Amino acid sequence: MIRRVWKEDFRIIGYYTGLVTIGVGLLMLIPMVTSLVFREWASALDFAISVALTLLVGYVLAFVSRTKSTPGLTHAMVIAAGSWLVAMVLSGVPYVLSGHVKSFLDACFDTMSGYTTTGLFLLQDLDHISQGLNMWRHLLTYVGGQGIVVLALTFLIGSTGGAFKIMVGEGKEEKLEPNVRHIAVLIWRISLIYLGVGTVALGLIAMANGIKPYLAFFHGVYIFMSAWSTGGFAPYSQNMLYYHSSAMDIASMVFFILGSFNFALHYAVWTGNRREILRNVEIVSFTITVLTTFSLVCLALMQRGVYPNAVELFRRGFFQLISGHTTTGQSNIYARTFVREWGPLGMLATTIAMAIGASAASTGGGFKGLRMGIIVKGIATDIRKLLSPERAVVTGHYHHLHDNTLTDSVVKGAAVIVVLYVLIYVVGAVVGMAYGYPMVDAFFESVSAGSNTGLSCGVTQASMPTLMKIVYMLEMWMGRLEFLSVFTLFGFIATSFRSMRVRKAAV
Amino acid sequence: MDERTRTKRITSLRRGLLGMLTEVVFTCGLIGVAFLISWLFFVGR
Repeated sequence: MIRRVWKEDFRIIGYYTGLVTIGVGLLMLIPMVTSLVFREWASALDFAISVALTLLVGYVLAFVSRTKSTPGLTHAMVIAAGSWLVAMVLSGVPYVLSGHVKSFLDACFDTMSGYTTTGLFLLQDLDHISQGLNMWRHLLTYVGGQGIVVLALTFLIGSTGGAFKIMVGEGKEEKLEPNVRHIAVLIWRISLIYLGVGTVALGLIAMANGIKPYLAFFHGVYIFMSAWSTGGFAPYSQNMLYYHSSAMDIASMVFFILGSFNFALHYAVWTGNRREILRNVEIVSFTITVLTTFSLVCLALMQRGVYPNAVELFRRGFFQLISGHTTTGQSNIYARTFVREWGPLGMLATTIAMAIGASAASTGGGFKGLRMGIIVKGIATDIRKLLSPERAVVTGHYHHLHDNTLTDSVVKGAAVIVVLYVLIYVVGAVVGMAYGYPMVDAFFESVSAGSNTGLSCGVTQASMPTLMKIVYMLEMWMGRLEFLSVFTLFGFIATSFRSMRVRKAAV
Repeated sequence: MDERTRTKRITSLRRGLLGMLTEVVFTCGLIGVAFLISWLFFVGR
């Protein structure tokens, strides 16, 4: 039986959503300072207005609904899903004030794409936006990768009993430490250490390519944030093609592969369990699917004679494929090259890679290597059961941090989530086809949005139908939060209306 | 800071650095294997 919704439920949700909103407002100070450093006064003013508005909304929400109650699982799920929506709307304000978007919906599309680390964008004249707005875009994706709630947990919420539940709602369900604040700090420590290393490496490469030192530093920061969070944004519209640099491509590739690993795996390897990287079911599954789909891409590109030598085949083919598989979306070819040169087999292999995606509890999307591994192991165990004598007890195992027994409920749980992902991929593709896009293009773009990848074959543009924009935004949101918290939010809204009706009838 | 805490911190730092190196080496190995596959496809065309 579903319980009724009371005033206190709204208070808990409002209070914690308010705290997350305050976190978003404080985050906007970074692009504001960037604009001031670059003497972009108009952009700095845009951010000042946005900071004031976001903090006001956050403080009002937290003040009006202040409570000392701890969130339960339902609250946590609603807070996680709702916070992302509030953050999406308020983060779009600087976009609208900059005048680089055609509508507020386009601004929301871009912020949703940023927070969910997708990388699709509708921003106009990207090559001439302010450094402040560029910093904001990349910061959104960096923070979105770690989880907005993880950010708020670190600085604002603290170690309340319900904090871990909110984190689960955001898809970060690995319990690395007993204290939830320690988990958030750990996630940030790993990300910030890599941020330092990545900025230096990518900045030096940018400098070697002839970019001025101070700008090279910002390019290093932007590309690192985009790569590590498997986001896919870049400061220029040509994305990675702008740099024409193999070193930049390879360095970025290293960081987005690392970013696609489970935070629990990073933690295990960083605390001395180095063999885990070779034994973990997610990494084994990831390696097998990457090499298989890349072989398909090679086959397609060799058949069509697209690239003149092995180096070029690797540089373009593998970069695109691994960018898709890790759900990054950085690109070193033009969007329409997929359709014109790669052909259906190349696009299909990339689509499969995007659909599978990265690791669970990572910055990546897709239905994740862990679920893929569990389902394959589940099928193998069932076949072994059929081949064994009837009285034999056959149990499957998989290694993820430690040896786990493969129960029917684990396999069922993984299968349900995979089916839901496939469902949103199909719905997005059907809407695309209804608007007249070819089937391969529609599937490619829909899977890219639903798996939070961001590779585009040219469908995503400011001129595309409004319904498609909304469907892609929903795909990004659901795909990122892995359904449960979104469905709980819908259920909570429906239950709230029902409770109101029951109370009115009682009166 | 006493000797025990110092040793603990150094061990933790060393483990962290070795862990990071392990991850980077694994990633470079994967990229290397992918290069080998593209080279094999090109040679075997």
